Amino acid sequence: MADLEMSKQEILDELLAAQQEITDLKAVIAAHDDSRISMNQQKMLEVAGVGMVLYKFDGTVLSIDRGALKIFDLEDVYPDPRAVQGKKMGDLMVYTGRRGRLRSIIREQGKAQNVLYDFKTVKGDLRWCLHDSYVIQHPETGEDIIQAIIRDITEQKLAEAEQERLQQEIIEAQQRAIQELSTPIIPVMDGIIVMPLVGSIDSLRAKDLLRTLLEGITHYRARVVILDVTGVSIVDTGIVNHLDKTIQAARLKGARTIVTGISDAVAETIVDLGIDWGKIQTLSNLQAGLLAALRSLGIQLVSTASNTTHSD
Amino acid sequence: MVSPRLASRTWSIEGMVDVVTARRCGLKTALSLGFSTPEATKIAVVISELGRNILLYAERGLITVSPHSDTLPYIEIIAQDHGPGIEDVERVLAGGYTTSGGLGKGVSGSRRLMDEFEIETAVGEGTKIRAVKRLYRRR
Amino acid sequence: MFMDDDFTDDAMSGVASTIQKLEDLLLVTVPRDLMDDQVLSLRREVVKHIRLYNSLWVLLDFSQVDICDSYFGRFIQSMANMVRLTGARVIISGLQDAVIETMVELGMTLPDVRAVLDLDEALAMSRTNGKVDADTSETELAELSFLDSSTFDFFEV
Repeated sequence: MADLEMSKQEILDELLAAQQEITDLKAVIAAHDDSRISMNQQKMLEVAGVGMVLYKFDGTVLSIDRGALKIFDLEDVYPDPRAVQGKKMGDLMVYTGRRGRLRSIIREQGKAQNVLYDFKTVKGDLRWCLHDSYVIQHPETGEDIIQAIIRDITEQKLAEAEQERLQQEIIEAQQRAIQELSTPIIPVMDGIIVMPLVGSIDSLRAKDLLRTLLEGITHYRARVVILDVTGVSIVDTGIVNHLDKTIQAARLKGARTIVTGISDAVAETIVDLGIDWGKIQTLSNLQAGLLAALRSLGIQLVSTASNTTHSD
Repeated sequence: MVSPRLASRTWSIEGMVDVVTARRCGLKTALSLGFSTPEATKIAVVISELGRNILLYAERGLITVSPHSDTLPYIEIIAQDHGPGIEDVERVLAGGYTTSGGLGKGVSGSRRLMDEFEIETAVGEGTKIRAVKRLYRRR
Repeated sequence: MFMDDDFTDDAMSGVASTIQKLEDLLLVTVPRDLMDDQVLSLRREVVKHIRLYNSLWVLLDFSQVDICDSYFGRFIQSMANMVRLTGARVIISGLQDAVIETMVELGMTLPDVRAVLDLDEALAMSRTNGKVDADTSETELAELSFLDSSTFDFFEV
């Protein structure tokens, strides 16, 4: 009977021991699985371009993972992420904007979510990242530190940039085409070109006007330029300044400018601006300008009809 | 990813040769970034003016040319020296004012050629000028 | 400091200027990057050659120049003033469009220096104006805009 009792106790003990063993084994297996899962997670995050950095408000790095090292393009410099501990964030990257701009946001708001941040790697490549940063307590010292989860979106950003650049180029090209059409150069005779200006002149168009005129002078070997401003509707000091620059530029290219069709308003602006157009010939209309241009090149108009008198 | 022409560069400015080298590089960098010849020329001229000013007033200094090929590309010039500094910044920016016998058009003219132009200066400590030109004008 | 061979070569190239005689003209090819010491020697050489050939016109050809800062503008001005003192006149030619645009933006318009498109134009001008230079009338001179340098101060470069 006693034997039986003993054996019962023994069985119970063995059962308990076995149970414990199973629990332990389960734990081991679970732990193993966990580590495998976390390793996979780590790898996945790395591939997805996600990284994590813990750092102090003064920029000192407390810990960094491989994903973040990959974003900073420092995997080959620091094969072991632990070697980065104690370095400053400024050692890992080159700031493109104001240093500490992100940290000031985090300090003020306790976090920074979905913040677009660009920097250069120490190798000089531009990177764009999305930052999710939170202030947490240091497990040992209790001081406020920053936990940052960063996601590399450089490729996406470059694609967007490329598209925007293309769009801008198309817009610029279209504008150029419109401007070329709106500032024609008319060669009227050997050495004389006419450039009629129509509409309003903004600084963008003024620059094209100047460029078109300089090209026109070279192309037609112009010695005299007649700038007809009859069609210029709105006048301000900016326009007169641009006209003055255009005339000076033509002069430096070797061509004399005659301005025709100056309205009373334009004349007043010129005087009020104190711009000295004393050396620039100004005439009331295009016909007078053309005659003056011909005269200055030593060309005279002679009527071939015997019975008509030429009046000036 | 970044072509060598589009890397940021710093020159130690100690003589006219350095200024010439810096402005030549600036011209090429600006062209590589997509600036038209006239706009690139203006950038080069600004580098030249700032470089000459360093030689004239501070004898030596640094010029950094940084192209930024971001969404909207721009070029940034930083000229810094530990020279005498500028006493009257407003007057220098207004133009026609000089203490060296020049035309007084270098700084004021440079500002007109660029989209952004900032001067940080303290008498006796030095001058830092930051100038930016954008590839596309903001609308 | 970063030194790129490519750029250093650029800085060193095109340093030589040439002075040639062509009828009444003295043709001066201005180097791409004019160094400070070259400015002085170039001015002296030009004046020496004006006396040697009795030149009436000095044509400064800028077709090599692609960067023109305010110092460069001062060089042109001082050259023009110095040449005028010898009795000759300066003409400039070959300024590139981009250079002109920058000069105008900078306010360097060289109001009393005559510009021509190219060598052909310079030659044509010297042929029509050169022989009568001594008794050119005041109005013609004003037309050539050589007089009145008061708007542009003289600066020793």
